[in-house]
Amino acid sequence: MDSATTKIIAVGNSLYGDDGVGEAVLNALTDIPELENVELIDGATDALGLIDYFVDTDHVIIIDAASMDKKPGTIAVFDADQVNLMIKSDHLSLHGISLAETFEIAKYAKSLPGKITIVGIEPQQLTVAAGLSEPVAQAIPEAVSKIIELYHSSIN
Amino acid sequence: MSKNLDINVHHLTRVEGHGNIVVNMKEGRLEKAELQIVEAPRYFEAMLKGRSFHDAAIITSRICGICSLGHQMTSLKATEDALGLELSEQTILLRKLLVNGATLQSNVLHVYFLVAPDLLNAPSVFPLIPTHTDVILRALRMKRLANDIGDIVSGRAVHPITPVPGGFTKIPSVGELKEIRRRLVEEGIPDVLETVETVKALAGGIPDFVRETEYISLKDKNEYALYEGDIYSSDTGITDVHDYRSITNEFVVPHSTSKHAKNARSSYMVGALARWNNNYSQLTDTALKAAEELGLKSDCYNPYMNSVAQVVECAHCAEDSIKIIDQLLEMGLKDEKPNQTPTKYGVGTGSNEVPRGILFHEYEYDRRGNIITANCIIPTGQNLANIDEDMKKLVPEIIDKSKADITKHLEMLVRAYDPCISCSVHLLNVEFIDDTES
Repeated sequence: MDSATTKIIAVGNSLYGDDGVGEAVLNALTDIPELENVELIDGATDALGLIDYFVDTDHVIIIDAASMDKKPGTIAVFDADQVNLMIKSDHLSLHGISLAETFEIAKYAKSLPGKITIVGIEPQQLTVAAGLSEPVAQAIPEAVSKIIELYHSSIN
Repeated sequence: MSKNLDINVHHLTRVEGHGNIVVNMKEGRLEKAELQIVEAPRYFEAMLKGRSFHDAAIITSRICGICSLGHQMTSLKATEDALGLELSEQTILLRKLLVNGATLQSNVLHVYFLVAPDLLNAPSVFPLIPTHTDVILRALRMKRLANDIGDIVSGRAVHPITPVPGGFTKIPSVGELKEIRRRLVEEGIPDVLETVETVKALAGGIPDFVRETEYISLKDKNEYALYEGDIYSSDTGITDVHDYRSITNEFVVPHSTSKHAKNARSSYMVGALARWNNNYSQLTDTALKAAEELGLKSDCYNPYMNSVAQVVECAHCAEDSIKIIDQLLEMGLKDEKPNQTPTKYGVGTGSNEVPRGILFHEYEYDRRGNIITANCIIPTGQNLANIDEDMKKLVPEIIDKSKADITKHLEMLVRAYDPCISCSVHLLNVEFIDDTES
């Protein structure tokens, strides 16, 4: 077992087209022997729920559909503090709270993990439908290799 | 009072057009007061068609990350009702424990992260974190405890995997239950009592608004109904769960893609306040004491007090969970196989109290155990007409306040119901700084 703890968390709703890409990548990771000791978590759509997984963790890798103005299926790997995430503060409901606000709360509550890396995949379609669009589905193997690379860099 | 007022608050979420408050008043006459909303679960009914009874709860639990346990429990009950699957006492107790955990978690988050900032006159929870760190840490500790109840009983906190039609594929160990019990006693109850004190200190900020409506919840003769019971209306009394359509009477309104619901009046309320009004005497002692401390009286007609009723329920859920664990330990845990042999096929209905109110699922199964039709009525859909009616009474009463103040009152009102608005997509909006992505 490696001494550094790494967790891989998929975020999104698999009933909502390409928003399910996180879960699809997570499923593809379950058979990778190198990741045997890594906790794979399906964070789904309860962003605030992720805080519980941040505690006592060195590196959290989050896989999510990300709107980045890029070609569908494009993968971008970045640290959470490298980008501006849209923070909303006028929520009418717990249902609107997203990753950006969760990071903010975790930061103040001193619950952030050592490092958060986001593997963002540009979606094509976000309508109620099970299943991914072609460019997004084709991006899965590349996302998997990028995550394995990230894992190796975090334990070395 | 010949005032003109034009409020249009766009709470843009990830999907355009969700959750707008629109209020118009012309020369003192209220023309419009409504919450415009789009409801997602409708679309999922089509997705269930043709799916096996093994899959229904898995699919419906994914409708919403926040309400996933509630959808799953209700779905399982509808399937078990349709297929005639009997449950063991142990399964029912474990499910009640799960429901307590989910209710505790949702109520805590709602009160601390959405309601408390309003009462402290803060624009959101974020500016409060540095000055109220202990309080936020307490909220997160309570959330974690509630989450861990879900983890040990259902396999994982989000999208539970071990509860299946007819039972559980895996049950918690005696050690895990004892550990959760210890934490409930040592952390959970003290944190709930602190929460009561915190909310009590802020309660002066709760708007003084009264509108009596019809209150609908489950009701059970033996206990405070969260997991089982008949439908109970404060106006029309008991109705069998199978006749839920005679209560919900859904109807279409132009300003919402979500149907509205009404029963004896033009609207009804579901959720913690409805449960309190209908069933308060069955709460645990600590919960009743909390209600007294917080000034929550029986037959409370102030919708803003829904959040106070949620705090009272936190006390109930923590204390009741201890009782359930004691009962399970006393019975001795049995490694049972889920009962998945259908004794019939047809229509089944399930109903559960989820944090936001009463939830209904109904499925019709064919002889192969596949779904022919599905219907799902969520609490938010049932509350929408009531929110509109509240706004119609509230606006003329506060019309002399500033527009900003009126808007805040309206937002607080909608927040008190914690509507299920935008959980369906959780897309991350990213703007790169200096194009630094690798």
